[in-house]
Amino acid sequence: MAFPPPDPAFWDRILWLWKGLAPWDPIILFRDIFPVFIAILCLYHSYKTFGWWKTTLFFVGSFLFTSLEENVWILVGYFSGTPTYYFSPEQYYLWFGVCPLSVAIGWFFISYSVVYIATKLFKNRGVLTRAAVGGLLAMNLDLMVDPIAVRNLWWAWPQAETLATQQTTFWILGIPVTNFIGWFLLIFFFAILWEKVPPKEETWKRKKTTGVFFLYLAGLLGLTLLILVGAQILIAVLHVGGLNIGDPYFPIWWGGP
Amino acid sequence: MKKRDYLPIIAILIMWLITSMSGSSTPGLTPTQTGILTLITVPLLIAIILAIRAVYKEHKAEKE
Repeated sequence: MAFPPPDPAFWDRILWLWKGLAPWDPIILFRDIFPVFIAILCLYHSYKTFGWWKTTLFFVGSFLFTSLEENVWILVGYFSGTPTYYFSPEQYYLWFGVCPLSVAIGWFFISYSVVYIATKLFKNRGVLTRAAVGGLLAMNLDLMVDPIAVRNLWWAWPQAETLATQQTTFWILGIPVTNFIGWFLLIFFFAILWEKVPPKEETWKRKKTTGVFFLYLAGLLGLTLLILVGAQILIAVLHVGGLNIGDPYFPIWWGGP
Repeated sequence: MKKRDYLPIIAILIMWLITSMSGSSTPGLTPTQTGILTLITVPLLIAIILAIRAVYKEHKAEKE
């Protein structure tokens, strides 16, 4: 789908909270504010269940982890000259770098909800099982969210616009597969971190636990990005090797990107 | 256990509902494609139902 690249002013305003490029539209306002209301439901539940410290860890942790990953992935694409994806500056008012604030807040309540559901369904299983189930549930939700979002021009995958880049990416429902891998990994890693580190508070004390939590968070962010870059390179190499898994018209019943 | 234990489940259900409703009015998506997208998320819906059931059972067990 053809999608105009962002206004050059967008890249000059990377650090602006309000980029001033979206026209007045109540629908945009709704899209910016509504996730906050859903997030409040989760924040209230978390505060009443875990207390303010763990709630802050989850909120700040998931917000930073996911939105920084979005920022790095978008900016790497922009500065390397091979755009990965971008959010439309005309569709959001409030931003955290190049990621809309509503998306970052959305990440918080989605991760909180799927981790909670996984805990309820698999409370007697290991951490890895629960984290994997949480990741798969989030990825499952995104299988519906992403194809709808790109057609509404909320965000775009510029690789979809040239045949050469279409063929070096493996697409699912018109979305690069690395996006879905990213969704799974972000929730999977965060869920493990959430289950492993905060319970150490009793022995480590709160200050050290907080420090270790954010230190691991930074490490996992790097690891997620490395895996995504690796997956993208692998797909490109397979393509060069003649295995055309990046056929943009697969599956035929869905159509091209 | 309180009624608020349902909140995180309701949160993801609202997200699913809003996205699903957006899909039906999305330009470029045929009704068949919208149906496929909704069907794809059946595992999530099953998980949501099972989670509601699990919380309900916990509440019931606690009362007894």
